[in-house]
Amino acid sequence: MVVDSKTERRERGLRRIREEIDWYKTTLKELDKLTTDETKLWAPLMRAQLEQYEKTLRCVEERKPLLASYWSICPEVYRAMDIHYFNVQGHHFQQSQARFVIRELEECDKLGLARDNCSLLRLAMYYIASGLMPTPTMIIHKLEPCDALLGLHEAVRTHKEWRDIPHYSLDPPYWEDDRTLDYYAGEVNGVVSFLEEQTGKKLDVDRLREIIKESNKQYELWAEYNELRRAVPCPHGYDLSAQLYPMVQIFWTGDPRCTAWLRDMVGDAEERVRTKKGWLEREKVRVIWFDVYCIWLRDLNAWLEQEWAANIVMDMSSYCPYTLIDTSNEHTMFKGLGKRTLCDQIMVRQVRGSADRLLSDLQRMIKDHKADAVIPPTHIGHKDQIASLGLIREVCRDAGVACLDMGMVDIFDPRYTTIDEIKDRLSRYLITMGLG
Amino acid sequence: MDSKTKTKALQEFTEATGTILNPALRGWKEGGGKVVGYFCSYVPEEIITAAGFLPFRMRATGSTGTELADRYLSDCNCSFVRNCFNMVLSGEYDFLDGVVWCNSCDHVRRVHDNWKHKVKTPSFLHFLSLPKKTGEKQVRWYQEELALFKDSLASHFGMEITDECLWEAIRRHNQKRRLQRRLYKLRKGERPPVTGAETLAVMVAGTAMPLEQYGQLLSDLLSELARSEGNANYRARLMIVGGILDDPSYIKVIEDQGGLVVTDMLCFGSKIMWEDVDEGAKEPLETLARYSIKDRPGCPRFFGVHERRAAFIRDMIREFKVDGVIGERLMFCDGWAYEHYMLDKDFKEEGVPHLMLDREYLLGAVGQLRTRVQAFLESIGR
Ligand code: SF4
Ligand code: SF4
Repeated sequence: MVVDSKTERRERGLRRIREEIDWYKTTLKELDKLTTDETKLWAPLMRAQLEQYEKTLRCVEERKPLLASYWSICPEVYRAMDIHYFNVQGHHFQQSQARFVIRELEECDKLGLARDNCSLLRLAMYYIASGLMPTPTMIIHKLEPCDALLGLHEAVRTHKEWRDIPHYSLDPPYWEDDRTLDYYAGEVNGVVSFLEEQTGKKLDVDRLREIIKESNKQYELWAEYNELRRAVPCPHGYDLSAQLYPMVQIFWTGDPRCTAWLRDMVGDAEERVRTKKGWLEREKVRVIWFDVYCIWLRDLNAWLEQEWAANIVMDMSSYCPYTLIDTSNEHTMFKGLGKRTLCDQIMVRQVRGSADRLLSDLQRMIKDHKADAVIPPTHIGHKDQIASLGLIREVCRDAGVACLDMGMVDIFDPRYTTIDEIKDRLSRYLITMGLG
Repeated sequence: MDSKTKTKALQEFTEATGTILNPALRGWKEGGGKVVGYFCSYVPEEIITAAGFLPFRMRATGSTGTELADRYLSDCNCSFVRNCFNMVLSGEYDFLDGVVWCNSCDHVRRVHDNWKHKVKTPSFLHFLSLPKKTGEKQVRWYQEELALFKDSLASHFGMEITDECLWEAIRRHNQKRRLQRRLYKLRKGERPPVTGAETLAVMVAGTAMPLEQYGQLLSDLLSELARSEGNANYRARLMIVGGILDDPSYIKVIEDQGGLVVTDMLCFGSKIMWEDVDEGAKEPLETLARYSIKDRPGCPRFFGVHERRAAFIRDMIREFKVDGVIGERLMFCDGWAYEHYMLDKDFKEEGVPHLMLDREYLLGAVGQLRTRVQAFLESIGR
């Protein structure tokens, strides 16, 4: 992987984005031809992702400020300041990217980063090292939820092509108490000062309030939607429901178009619940996927649905009972944004601090969503979760549900354990547990 | 490669390192003393000493398997943690009166949860939230964490821990550090009187023995070593960089190939004693917090300190006339994975010969280790 001149690097990053844009445009065209209820729900999603890429492209081409950030660090602030950002971890993990993954993982192995490290992060490093990721003008690092992410940040910060880019990071304490939230509100304030300094813009607090009010509505709708997923049979499949998180937290945070889309999601789910029209014709197994979305999950999910009449009714990313933010003054807003980022957000919620939250969330998910089985996290990258496996199995046992152990997997590297091996293992479990 | 000086002190240190409940610790317990285990060097031993207790750095020396721990942890957790928790479950840590953690890494953090849910004794378990940034704000945060720790220790055991006790403990631990640094300084010369394996035994013992006894033994050792003619029979001078390496026999395998380990940056090595805790500060807890956050070279679990660590290594290379660096990492350790990735680039840029090794906590695959070290020594022309 030879990285050449700045112009060549820049072009390489843009080429990939352009490819992405083409892919989304073609897919959207196809989608627009179909007019089922389901495709209507998918179209805004595709549009949001396309828009994301187009904005990134524009920033690079027009040399506008471009922020590299990570999963859900106060996206409300970015939006209120009209600063475009892309997610360093997620950039190479859009749906369209699956076609590149194997080739890139092979290249990525040559980097010299230990392979027992999460492949999502290894890929991000590879993207940066090879120039496939656009070079931002500023970075905000998020030092949670895992050791590997912090390691990635440090490697990104010191990487020779990125080391001069101004950066800010938020320090996440272990606790969730008031002292912690006050401390972390200060860290969020730091985000604003950093962005103001870098862009010369000033945060308009009233605009922030409006954005937060809108995102509060989105969280309410998200919660409502999750409640509808408790219904037996479950009204939607997992592929669609897994998109709530990126829509609300990455693409269209605080954007009324997202609120409208969520209303449609809720409306459609409600109608299906009312008419008892489940996603699967005869739903037999209700599964909790106790991890985040992954590269081969579409395939696995389709197989679960077709072969086992199993629906993933809840997962770790979607189960985030977000606290609504009190918009009465600046302090409450920053504290609320801090809480959302530190204690409510996907993965970080269950992974950052003690395992108690992880276990109680699982208990609640099983109960509320009437689960028959849990697929526990066995991703090689999630070291804290695999160190909680014994406790997770106990929660399942106490709740009387099956714990479908996939064996060790890499949720971003299908070479680690092949999808066929995973299916084989799950089949044996499902049969043994009498769920077949 | 063995040092020509085989003293009684070295033997005692080796004994203290070779077991968990070593004779000195046993003697302390029999005399009614309390022992508080801690999981990472960012838990200040000084606070435990100030309470009149003996701080014991958790290890898994002598572990024979992970069968009990495997019910709770996974094969992809670091083998230090798996072996250590196995020893806890098998009762080998029953002598502890308390255990303290900080969020040093994801694996250790979850040992706390598993311990809380499955072990339940001793009744004093405490967790410290160690920041990941290293600014003044983080010093203040950690100072508060240390105050909470001190108060909960005092209230649990029904005692008072005064500032005087804390200052006294700081002085005593600094004294220990000074003695340890003297040992390291002896290794700067052409004929180091002590090997890397022996030095590691001395350092590990320093986390498992009563302070007075340790200090006395180390002073004796230093006097003897000062008279020793030292060791000139080596092919290259090496530095080891990594995390929780507490097994001298690992270093011995390296040294048996002819590479003398003259210095290190390890959890049980220079990282914990190269600087003193500032005794001139106003508040004892403030100075302890500052020591953890700002004064030490900083482990990979902190953000923004890679350059500081790299500079520390560079200084060591110069001061100790190091010919090559060996980086070691326990498999599945993410923090050190990234650190080695970055160091690898630094070393390549600077032309420093280096070898990166992944290992398991219990010494194994010795043949492979030998071969790689031999090849490394040859590659640097030794
Ligand atoms: S490497 Fe540093 S943070 Fe990790 S256990 Fe050792 S002292 Fe603690
Ligand atoms: S070696 Fe790494 S993973 Fe293991 S305890 Fe130390 S810091 Fe944690």
